[in-house]
This record gives sequence, structure tokens and C-alpha cells, in this order.
Amino acid sequence: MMVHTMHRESPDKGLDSGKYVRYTPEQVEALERVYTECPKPSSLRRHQLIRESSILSNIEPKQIKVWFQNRRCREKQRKEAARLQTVNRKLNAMNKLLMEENDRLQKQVSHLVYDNGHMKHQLHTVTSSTFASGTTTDNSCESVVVSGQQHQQQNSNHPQHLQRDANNPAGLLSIAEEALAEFLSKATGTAVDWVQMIGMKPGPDSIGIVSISRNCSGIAARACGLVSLEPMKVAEILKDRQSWLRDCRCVDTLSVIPAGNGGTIELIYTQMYAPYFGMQASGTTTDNSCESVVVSGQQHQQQNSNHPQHLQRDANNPAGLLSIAEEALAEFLSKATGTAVDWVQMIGMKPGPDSIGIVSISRNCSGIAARACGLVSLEPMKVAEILKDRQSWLRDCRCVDTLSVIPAGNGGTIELIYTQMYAPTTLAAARDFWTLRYSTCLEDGSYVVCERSLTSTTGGPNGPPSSSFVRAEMRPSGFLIRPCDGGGSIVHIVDHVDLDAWSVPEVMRPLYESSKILAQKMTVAALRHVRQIAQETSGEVQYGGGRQPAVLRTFSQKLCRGFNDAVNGFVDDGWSPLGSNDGAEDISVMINLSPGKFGGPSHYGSSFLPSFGSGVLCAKASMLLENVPPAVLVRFLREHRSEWADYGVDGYAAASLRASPFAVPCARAGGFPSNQVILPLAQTVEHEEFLEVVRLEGHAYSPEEMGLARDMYLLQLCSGVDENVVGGCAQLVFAPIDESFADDAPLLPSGFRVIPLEHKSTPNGASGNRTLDLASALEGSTRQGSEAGPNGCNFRSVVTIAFQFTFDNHTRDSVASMARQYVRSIVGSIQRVALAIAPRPGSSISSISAPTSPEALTLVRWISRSYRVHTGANLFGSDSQTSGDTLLRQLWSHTDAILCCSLKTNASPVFTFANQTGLDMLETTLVALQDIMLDKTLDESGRKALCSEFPKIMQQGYAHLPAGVCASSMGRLVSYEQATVWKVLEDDESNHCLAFMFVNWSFV
Amino acid sequence: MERLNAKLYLQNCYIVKENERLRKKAEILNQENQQLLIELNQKLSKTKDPNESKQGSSNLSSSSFASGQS
Repeated sequence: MMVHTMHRESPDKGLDSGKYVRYTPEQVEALERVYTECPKPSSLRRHQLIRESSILSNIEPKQIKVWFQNRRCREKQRKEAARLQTVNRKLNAMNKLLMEENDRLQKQVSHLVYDNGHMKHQLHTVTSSTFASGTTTDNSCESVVVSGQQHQQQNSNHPQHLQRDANNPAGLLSIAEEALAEFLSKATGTAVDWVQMIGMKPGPDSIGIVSISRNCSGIAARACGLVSLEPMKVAEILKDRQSWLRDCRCVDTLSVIPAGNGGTIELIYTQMYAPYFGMQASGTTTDNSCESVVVSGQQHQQQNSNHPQHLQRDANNPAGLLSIAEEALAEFLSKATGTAVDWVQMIGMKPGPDSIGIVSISRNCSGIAARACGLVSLEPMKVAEILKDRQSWLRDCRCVDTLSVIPAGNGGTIELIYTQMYAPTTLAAARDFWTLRYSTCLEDGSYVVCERSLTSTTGGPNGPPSSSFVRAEMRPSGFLIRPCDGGGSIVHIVDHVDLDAWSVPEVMRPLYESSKILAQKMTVAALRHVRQIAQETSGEVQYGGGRQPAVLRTFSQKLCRGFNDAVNGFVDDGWSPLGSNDGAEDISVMINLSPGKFGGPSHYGSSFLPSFGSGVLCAKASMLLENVPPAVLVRFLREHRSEWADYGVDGYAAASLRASPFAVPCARAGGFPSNQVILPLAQTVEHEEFLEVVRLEGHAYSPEEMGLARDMYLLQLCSGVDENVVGGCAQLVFAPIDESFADDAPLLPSGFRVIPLEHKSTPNGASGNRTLDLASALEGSTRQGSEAGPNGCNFRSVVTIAFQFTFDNHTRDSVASMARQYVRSIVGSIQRVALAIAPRPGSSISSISAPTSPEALTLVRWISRSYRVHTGANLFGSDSQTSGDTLLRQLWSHTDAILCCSLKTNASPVFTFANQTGLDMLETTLVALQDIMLDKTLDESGRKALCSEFPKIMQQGYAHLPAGVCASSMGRLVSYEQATVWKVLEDDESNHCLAFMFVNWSFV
Repeated sequence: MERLNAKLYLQNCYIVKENERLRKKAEILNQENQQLLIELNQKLSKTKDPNESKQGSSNLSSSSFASGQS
């Protein structure tokens, strides 16, 4: 609250202790100086201030205190105002975007409506065979709008006009029909190039949508609005032009002719006062653009007619390149803001004050395309600079080489660019692009960067040859960056590529045909990166672990890059395959004897030091999994490292950072579970990527190494663990790092990447939401189909695993065999985990949740029966239905968290079962649940309450615990209003387990 | 300002819905148009063909036109 004691006129300059004090500018300045140092000075400091500063010596300590209170209050208000302003700017920009989209869509719809009407009319005309067939055929063929051709068309229509006798009623009717069609195409269509009239916004209170013409012959305006009168009444009022048009002098109806079809034709003479001239008779204007129809099938004709031009131009000289560039620009723009591609909104990407923007993906177009549009608080040129540096934001980009730069003459620049992209898995070859990039300013002040492949059809110089890459094609794509009122930019991004899906194995093809994956990997990634930098620039991002965001980002880039290098194993990086001794080829091993060459021809790759022994060895494998959501798998791998990792191997990898690595261990996954502690370092603004340090708590893995037991550290990057993201890959990549955490620490990353393979036939499939799949499996066939594949949950993912180790000359073979065994054991672990995670009835571990599992049905029956026996109440309201399936479903979807806990005297209780809400509360899965101990979930007072009530539970069968707090498996605090605990009895009345029901819980 | 923002947000939501509706409408219209175009082309090729009996062709086309409408 503002305390009103300042900035008021006071006759004596604040010498008294009265209510109002007026500060001199010098005093304010002195106080402000203190404020910048410390906005909340202690009373000691305030007194010191009065003593030390002569300017402030005449002010009471209390007043000083009030000044600081007010100052802080003002600061808070200012911040809030600034925040609201920012939100407002974003909303306004979003509004503008949406309006534009709305406008485009309206145009599209009206076009289609008009086409539709036209074609129906044509069909009708053709069907009633009284018309000469030759004339109608010609009409439909020429119905293409090209502004230059309208005049031609008019000419060709003239004979028809001359033929008809406009003096008889039939002739007049034909004129009237024509006028009607043309009017309708203006009223609801795009016969005129309408633009929204500024200052006329649609909204609940607006008069309507008002548009004005642009570049049309004559001037035109249209309006559309809602009126609470009957249509006939409205027509009557509007027809009486003199009643509402002040400039109308007179309207004389000279003759009235019934049109025969129920309509009326009138001939009208109208006089208008100056400065307007008399309106022209409608018969004359009818001639204008009467065939303004776009038939989509005819666009191809037009494109074909452009071909001779392609062949004629010499694409090897700058002028020829400019013509390719201009064409690419036009095509890009029609994708960025138009409907050149059949865009559909990407699911799960909604606009809102905090959303990244509007994301659309292509449907049924050749190649795959994605576009995004969003607001960024950076200047257009800065945005362009960031986006052009593709390697900084596109994780799959290996290198970008600009081979030549040509000034375009109009201030723009044309570049010829060779780009290499990593293959996402070991199962397909990497891609490269040979493109022309055109950057220029548009007339409206926006900046555009567009890019397209140079192919044999476009002409132009040939790109560099590539042996280990498949040449992919980039269709006109790019960025349109428009300055935004009040600072910042609106960015439109379009990616349209043809990745040559036919050259990859059939099973991998969906990955190369998915516009959703393209959207996530490229389009949205670009937008996210710009926004991330914008937020870092504005200081909204907090530093993690005392490091600058840019340093942390470099860590993430190095991890990704190192992992990609390992997966791809390019010859020009120095990789060569190493044959296996045991004959099996399930794991491929490659060695690199010149790790100094790492990173390819790019400056981004200087992450490796020659300190990596005499070489680096990589063992890698890819496997297919069914029905395993990538996010869930990777989350599991991250949270339960001991399920797959081997402490000895981790120790070897960590020790290789030091001078003397110890003996090569034999791999045995899960042999010695080690505790891991995850320390977050940084996360991106939208939490889709986490950089963290994993501390593996040290213990000696063999008696001889007792002295070496020490903590190990891994730098880890985890991305794509949000289950709600559509088409996202999930990835867990880590590298040992020593305690110094130097900014330029050498990193040798290993890890996992899980990519969803979505089938084209099920566009909405692979929703990747495991709980939903589980629920739909529980509910039988009722919820299947719409959310997932034909069997409710039929989708595949490909997992790529790559582990890197250093070796010395004499240890090469033992490291190779250790690495091979280790990766093989990890493949086994993943298969085991996948089986447990997959929402499939009958799988070994999760069977308890499946409706067919007799164990689950029995357990649920015991839970509900015991509750009824002890408390006298029913768990699900009415227990009339005794069918096991129904019971299971009711318990599964119960709104309170119901959990079961083992009841053993000699071991600490662990959870054995939970319903969906219970899993949500503990933030876990059914598999991982069984590692969670009750003691770690309840807090101190919860444990005490349970202890004191325990005898009662054993005697009476149940007890209520008071409201309290517990913790999820991720350490999040959960508050609950009440917890009911009851003893679950088996059929023979023996104790089975304890059941808990947490009522009205929520995350704190 | 807060109220203005809320209003803007609501309006945006409204336009989003509106756009969604328009997009659906465009999709339906586009399908219909494709259908009509096919019919039109069929009919035109029939009308052009002088060997076809006029009576038969017009009967045929009027029936397929009706089915296209539904």
C-alpha cells in the first residue's frame, strides 16, 4: 500500500515531523543512489544515512523509512505495469496475426464458395443440353484469375454480349444474373482485392467487418454486420437509398420487370450531389472481371506455362540466379502467409499469451512442410542473424558452408550454401542440401530470408559431390521477419523439404515423411531458439550454477554434437569400423585414432582435446520398440539409471578423464546399483530441454579399489520428456566431466535417442501419452481408435544407443569387447523396461493394470471389499456392480489417489499398486512405483501420525490421518486434506497389504 | 490494462475458434469442389464426344450429379 506522505506541497521544507515531507531534488538523488544499492535498507543503515549525509540530516528516520517503502511500492507497480504492457503487446501482435489468418481463410472460403457455385452452375448448364456445348466448355477452361489476363478474357466475352438482345426481358435477365454473380463474388469472395479497413476491428462491440478495395478499377468498399431485423425489412430499408444516403439527390425507378423466377428487375436513374458523380448504370460495370474464378486444377497449367522460361534463363550467371531467387521468394511467401500448402494446425500448439506461436504442418503436399509464426522481442535484423546461423539452433546440422556470395543488385544477397545434416539413427544415411539462399528487404520494411535447393530443374551450378550423404531437396522455405509495433518482430518460418524417404529402409520411412517431426525438430526449434536468446538478452533467464546462459548452451550443443558424431561415424572425422571377435553384428563398433579431428570442418566442433588417450571407440546399436512412448522411456532411463548402467563402466569412463585410467572392467549392468543425484543446471524457457549434472555417489566396486571410491560426475542433457509434445524425439545424452566443470571441459558423450515412427495412415496416432493408453486399455475398446493406432496403441519407435570410450593402444581390444558387451546388456535392459512400459495386456510387469490380469482384479476386489467391511461405506458410492472389470475401472479412474503398500514386519514398506491418480500424485509409473518407499513419501508428521494410528488400523481395520504433506518421487511436495488407511484382507481374512487413499491432494 | 488484456485474449481465442471453423469449412468446400470438378470434366468429355447419344448422356449425368450433391 502506498503511504501518502510525500510529493505534497508543504510550506516548511519537511523540517517538522508533520504528515507531508517535500524532498529536494538533491535529497531524492541521494536516496535514489542508496536505493539502487539496497532497496530495503535496515534501520541501522537508515540512521547511518541521516548521520553521514548532510543533505538528509534534516529528515526524520521515520520519513526515510516511508520514502523507501513508497519507492519499493512504486518500483513494484512499475514492474507490473511493464509486465502488463508486454503481455498487451504480445496479445496485440497475436491478434494481428490471427486477424490476418482469418482474413486469408475468409478469402479462401469465399473463393471456394464462388468456385462451387460456378461449377454447380456449369454442371447445370452442361446437363441441360440446350446450350451449345462448345461455349460452356471454353468458359470453364479459362476461369483463371491472372490480373493481366482479365482484359483478354473480357475481349473474348464480348461477342457473347453483342449477341444478346438487351432490350427484351430475357436479355435484361441475363445482365441481371451476371451482375448478381459478380456482386456475390465481391460480397463474400475476392473478386476485388479486399483489405481490412484500419480502425474497424471485429469483436463483440464492433459494427462489423469493413474492407476496402486495393488496386482495383474504380473504388470499392464492403461491410458485413449483424442486424436484429428480418431480412425483408432490411432489404426494404436499404433499397430506399435516399433515406440513408445523404448525398443521394433522387432515385427514379423507370421500369419494373418481373424476372420470371420470382425476382424483380428494375431500371433505376439515380442522381448524386457533388462532389460525387452519378453512379454508373450497373450494366456497364458488369463487364468487369466477370470470370474471377480460381480452379485449383488449373494452377498446374500455369506452372507448366512457366517452364519455357526456366529453360531459357542461364542459371549460371547472377541474373539467372536472381530469377531463381525471386521465384523462390514468391513461392516462400505464398507458403508463409498464404495457402500454397494445405496447412493444418498442429495439435497441442495453442495460441495464448505464453504460447510459442501458431504452428501448422502440411497435409498431402509433395515433401513435408511445417510453418510457425510467433512474436519475438528482438529487432528483425538480429532475428535474421540468429536464424541464419543454422548450426546454432538446429541440433541435427553438421555443417553449413557458404560457397559463394553474390550481391543481388537490389540490396539483397544471394548465397550458395552447402549443408550437411546428421542422420538421426544408425539405420539411415545422412542428408545434405545444396541450396540458394536469398536475403532481402521487402517494400513493407520486413526482412526475408528464403532458401531453396538448386536442382537440375532449377538450373544453377552443381553442388559439391558427397559420398556418404543422400542429397535431399529443400523446396522454397525460409523466414519472414516483420517489425512489430512497439519493438520486436513477428517471425514466420516455413520449412519444406523432400528428404528422399524412398532411399531409407521401409521401417524408417515414416520418420522421413513426418511433418510433425520436421515441425518439432526444425521449425519450432528455430522459433524456440530465438525466443530463448531474446529472453536471455532481456535478463529474464536466471543463470544456472553461476554460468552464463551462452556457456550452458555451448555445453548442450557439445553434448548433442558429440552424440551425433558418434551415431554417424563419418569417415572424414576419422572413424573406421572395427570387426567383432565374437561374430555377432548386433552391435557395431567403430574406432577413431585421430580424435583431434572431431567435429568435422566446422568451428563448432572444437570440443575435443587431444587428451583422449590414443583413440576413441564407439559401440552403437539401433532397435525398434513397439508401443513405447519415447518420452516415457527416456524419463525412465533418466530417473532409474541403476536399472541399466554399470557403475564400473561409469567409473572407467570417468577415470579416462584423468591421467591414469584404471583397469578395464567387465560390463555387468545393474551389478552395483549406485545412487544418483541430479543437480539441475539449466533448462530452456519451455522446459523441453534440461542440462544437469548427475552425481554418482562413490563406492568402490571391488575391494582393491576401495581407496579410489569417489563421486563421479556426468554432464547430462535430457530432452523431449514432455509426453504431450506431438512428434517429438526424446533423448538422454551424458558425458563424464571432472569436478572442475571447466567451460571448455572435453566431453565424450554417450546416450540414447528415441524417435517415434508415425505411420502416415494414422495421422493422429502415436499420441505418446502413456497414461491415456493405459486408461484406454482399461476401458476396453471404447476409447480406442481416435487417439491411437488401429489397435489402440500400435506405434513404433526406434531407439539408437551409442557409447563412447577412450582407449590406449594396448587396451584397444579389451575396451572394444567391454563396450560391445555393455551396449548389448543395455539393449537387454531397454527391452525389459520397454516390455514393462508398453501398455500391452499380458506383459510381465504391468500386467497388474490390465483388465485381463486376474491378479489385478483380485487385488481390486480385496481393496474395495476390505474398505466396505472396515468402514461400512462403499469406496465407489454404490457397490451394486460386482463385476471385476467394472470395479477395476472404477478404482483406476477414482479421483482420489489410492495406493497399496506392502505389509512386512522386517522390511520398510514399498508401494505395490496405485491407481492413475496415485501415479500422478507420486509422478511415477506402475513399474517405477515399486521402487518407492512409503517412508520417503510421507513427511515427518505423516510418519508419526501413521505410527500412532497403526495399532488402531490393525485392530479396527482402518484409520483416518489428518491433513498433511507428502512428497512425489520427483521430490515435489503434495498436500492432502485427509488420508484414509485401511487393511486389505484376502479372501481368507489374512492381511494382504495396506491401502492408502489421499483425498483432495494437490501439488504445493 | 489487465481487463483490456483479458478482453484481447478472449477475442484471440474467439478468432482462433473462428479460424478453426473456417479451415474446416474450406476443407469441406474443397472436397466438394474436387468432386464437382471431376463430374464437370466427365460431363464435358461426354458432351464433347459426338458419338454419344445425347439422351443417354444427359440421363446419366443428371443421376451422378444428384449423387454428388448428397
